[in-house]
Amino acid sequence: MTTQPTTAAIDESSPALDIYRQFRGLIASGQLGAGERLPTVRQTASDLGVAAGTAAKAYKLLERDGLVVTRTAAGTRVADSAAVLPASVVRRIRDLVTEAEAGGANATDVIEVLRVIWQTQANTP
Amino acid sequence: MTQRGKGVSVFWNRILSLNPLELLGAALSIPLFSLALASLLLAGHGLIRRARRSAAKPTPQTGASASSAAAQYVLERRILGIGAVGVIVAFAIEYVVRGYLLNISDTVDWWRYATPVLSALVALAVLLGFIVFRGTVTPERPAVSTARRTWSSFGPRRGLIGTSFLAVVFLATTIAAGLVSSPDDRGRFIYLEIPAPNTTIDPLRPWFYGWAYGVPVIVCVAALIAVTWVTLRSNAVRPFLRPQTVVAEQRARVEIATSAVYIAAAGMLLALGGAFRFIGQSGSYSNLTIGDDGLSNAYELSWRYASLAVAAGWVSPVMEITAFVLLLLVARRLLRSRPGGELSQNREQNSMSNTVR
Repeated sequence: MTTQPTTAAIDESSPALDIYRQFRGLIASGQLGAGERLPTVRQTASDLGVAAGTAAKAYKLLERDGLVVTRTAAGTRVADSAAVLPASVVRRIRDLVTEAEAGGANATDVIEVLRVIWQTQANTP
Repeated sequence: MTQRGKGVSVFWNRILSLNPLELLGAALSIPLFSLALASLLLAGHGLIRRARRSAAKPTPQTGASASSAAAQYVLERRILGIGAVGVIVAFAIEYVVRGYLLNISDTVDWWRYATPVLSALVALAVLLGFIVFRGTVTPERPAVSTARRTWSSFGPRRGLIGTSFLAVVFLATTIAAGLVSSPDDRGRFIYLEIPAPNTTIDPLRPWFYGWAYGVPVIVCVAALIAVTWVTLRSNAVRPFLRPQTVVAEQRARVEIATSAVYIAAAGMLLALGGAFRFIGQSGSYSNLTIGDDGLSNAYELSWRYASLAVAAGWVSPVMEITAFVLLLLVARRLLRSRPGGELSQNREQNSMSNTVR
């Protein structure tokens, strides 16, 4: 099943489409985990210097493409099917990066150690 | 020897006759001694830190973008640092003026407890005004944030929990003390009635932290909590300058939120410490001796919560010392360190992980 081309009707230079693409990039690259809450429409509008309506339009596009799910009181969350990793894992990766950065560790070293530990644990009966 | 000379000699003889524990107890009954102790504690901590730092590696140089991001927060750091000093100065001035310059007998001097709360409120209100009118700028290059930012996003988790707990203790103390207080003939709830059982003598009525004190102070505490909440929220929700400065700005905001929470907590601790000190005095009434023409009768007075009041009296210096340590820590960190110091440790390229490429 393919995604509906819902963005086709929108002007290519529309700020809403830009925001939509940015969030789609964050979800596709795994920077936002499954079930993770997106910032509020107001915060996104304020961060990007656009009207709240523009940010809301971008969120609607994400929802129509099945990338996010909006529920009353629960806010807008990344859809399980669209995310690369669960939210808990992504959160821990962020913490790991912060910790490694504070300790002055190199990104390549961290990734290498992660890979070695992963393989060691996977091979442990 | 003159009368004055005799008086001084009696004073020193009395001081020298005290054992070290009694001397410490007497010293701790003076709130400004808590300030001196806190200063000593912090000076010791500073010396240890300096000795450790001399063996550590030098901090990396500040990047250009991090520096510009840091510059945006310089004034906010200064406001908080001066605010922390202001709370201490206001507390000391109020203590000296009330104690030595004013005659406030028969006056409900609730402001003595509200002064640290109000001075903390003023410091945070100035910061809030600065964040709203000067610190919230249009982003130069917008950066999408992956995280929802709320009032608690940058605040110290333990500090927020501790301050909330403190507010609950404050409210409970106000209600409990108010409930056991009694009114005077003008309807002011300023007395604690301590009866002498099985006698016909009137109950003892010492001054107490009743509703007349508690209500105005708790209103000030509520205002401080509201201003702290709005300040933390305004600090968190404002947009970032550029994608490259997100990490640097996040660190600056953590520092501002932490300092704001510390100042609010210190204001509450000083006020609650003062209230506990006042309540603690009521725990000392247990024996009343009424004498006339060489004859005297001793009456046993009982107040149900006397032991609790005594415990509160012992806890009050600890609360004051903690408050002063928090304020001095904020002042030292924000007024002495270089503005870019904290931010200099950023790796700007990593900030891109939080933004969209």
